[in-house]
Amino acid sequence: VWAAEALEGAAFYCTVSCTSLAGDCAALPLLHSMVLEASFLCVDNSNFMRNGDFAPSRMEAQLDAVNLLSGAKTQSNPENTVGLLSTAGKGIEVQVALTADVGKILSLSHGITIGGEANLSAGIQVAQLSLKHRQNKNQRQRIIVFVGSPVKEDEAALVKLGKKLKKNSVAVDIINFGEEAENAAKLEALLNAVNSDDNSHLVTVPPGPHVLSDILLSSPIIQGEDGAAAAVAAAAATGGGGGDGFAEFGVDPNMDPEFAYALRISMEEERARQEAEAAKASDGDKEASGAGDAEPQSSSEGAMSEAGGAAPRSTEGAAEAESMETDTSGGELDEASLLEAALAMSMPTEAAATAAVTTPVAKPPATTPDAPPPPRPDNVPTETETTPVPVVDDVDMADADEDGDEAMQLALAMSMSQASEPAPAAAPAATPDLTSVLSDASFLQSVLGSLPGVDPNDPRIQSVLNSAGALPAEKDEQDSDEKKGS
Amino acid sequence: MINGIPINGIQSTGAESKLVSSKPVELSVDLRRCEVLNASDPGSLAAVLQGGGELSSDCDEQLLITVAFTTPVKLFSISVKAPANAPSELHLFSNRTSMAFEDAEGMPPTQTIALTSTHVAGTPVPVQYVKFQNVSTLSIFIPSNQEETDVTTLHQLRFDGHPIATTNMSELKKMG
Repeated sequence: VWAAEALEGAAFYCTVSCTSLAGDCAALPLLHSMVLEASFLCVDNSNFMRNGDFAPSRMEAQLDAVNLLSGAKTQSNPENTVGLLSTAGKGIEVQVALTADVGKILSLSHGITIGGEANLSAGIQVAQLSLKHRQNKNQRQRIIVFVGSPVKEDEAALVKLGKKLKKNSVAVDIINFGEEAENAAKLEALLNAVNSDDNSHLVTVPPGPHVLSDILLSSPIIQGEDGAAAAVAAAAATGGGGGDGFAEFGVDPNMDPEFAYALRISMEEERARQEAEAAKASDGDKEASGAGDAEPQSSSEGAMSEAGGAAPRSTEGAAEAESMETDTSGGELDEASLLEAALAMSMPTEAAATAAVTTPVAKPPATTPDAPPPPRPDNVPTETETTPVPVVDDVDMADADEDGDEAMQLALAMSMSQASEPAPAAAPAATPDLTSVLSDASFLQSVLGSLPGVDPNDPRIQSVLNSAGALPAEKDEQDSDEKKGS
Repeated sequence: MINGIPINGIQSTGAESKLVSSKPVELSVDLRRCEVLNASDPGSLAAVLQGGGELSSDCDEQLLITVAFTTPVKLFSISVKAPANAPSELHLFSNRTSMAFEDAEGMPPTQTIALTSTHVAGTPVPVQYVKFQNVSTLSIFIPSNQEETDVTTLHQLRFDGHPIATTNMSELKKMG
């Protein structure tokens, strides 16, 4: 049961990520380098943070980065803890003690007020003290400090501080932004003093229109040494290209085999779903026009039939055309091919060319009075009511032949235009093209006469036909299903 | 005798051992709560505490090892096995949590033990028993090594003493 739940959860996340990345599932949150670590973030809240060179302001960019970092740390290992302090203001102030609750950090980080001057060494020392008193002694100690204002301490003092940190097994990540040229030398010295076997990093963010969080995403602070990890924050923020390692998702088979399995299953499900959709699109043989969207159409039709009234019909027809658009995520061209296949199967003797013709021809009856395929409220269920349409097409073809090549030519012309257009768009677009067809009274009459259950004497039909063009008085006016008479 | 434990086993000679009524046993250590500072490989502490490994210092020759016992103990002796660059002194701090180098250098230790080359073959070095009557955490600060080099190395650390307030199952007898 748990496996199923994990699958569902993972599948949901995977499909969400997949769809948002156009099918590329490379960026998914994963448990990489599970280093057990306690990290303390030191935020610079001096007056220099009012500066807007990092949009919207340096302070906002920092808080965004704090959010990113704390999320990344706690995601990479659930036992990781993160703390937060501010280095300027009235003095060093610990905003959040070491905690695994990212929400707490996020909510309290926004309460930091800007002012004063940053005291880098004092901030680092307070962070070190907090780390010394962490609950879980097995956690590594790390300080991540943001430097956005000029550093007051001299290089020698920073080196001494760095050596002390190194001896106490504390790693330091320095994010140099804002006044980075001025501070570069001092922070480099600090990094060299504290760096032990490459556990500490210095990230320099030059001025420019970049987002601080994005730069941190690709930096070794989140990525780790080998850079192979870190789809963690990548998925959370931009959703772009995580490490491509084993099983396409980084090292997840080694780190978390159950999660890897869940991801694999969800990938396959997604693939199967897309294949099923494509198969469904080509599978619409029984239903004629819009077989793939016959169901949503019929459901919307059912709703519409209950609503009743002729006026809503036209709008509903348009709505249906839209539903046709939205439903076929496979693309509108699929619908055209879908119709072709449907008609080809319903008319085995017809040539492929004529099948193409019948495709748009099937559309005109469907859209004649702005109506979708004919379900009648007081008739049999909607699915079967779509079946008359192919029959209509058959008769249309015969009638077209009888009526002569004129109608055929018109239909062919329409089919050319419609085949190149998206099918649902073709529906409204075809409507103006249809007026010429509709004006062909005999053709129209034959169309309406072949529709089962259509009463040609219905005044609504007559009104439509009148508007469409010349109408012989004795023309059968059938109750148009498309009108969806109440 | 002194604390009511019946005498059994061997009576050993020596002033300190008169206080001991029974033979000291090896004390079990809670590895999860043990910590070492300034070690090149902090993970090697577990091996050193459990029988044999190699723990070397990193930046300089100083080491700070924090050992937590599973139960409060009365510490009797410490045995050290080390190569040539063995510690020259052990500064022992009893029951101090979260020690760092600044604390170790600033505070007077509970006891300072000087080690010579004879001691580092694994011979138990007795401690001032009266000072270690209720120890849950023991911190050992090593300021320098016998070779005066930059790296201090340890192979094995072992503690002997008596756990406090544990039931000796072998002595449990039905009353009456």
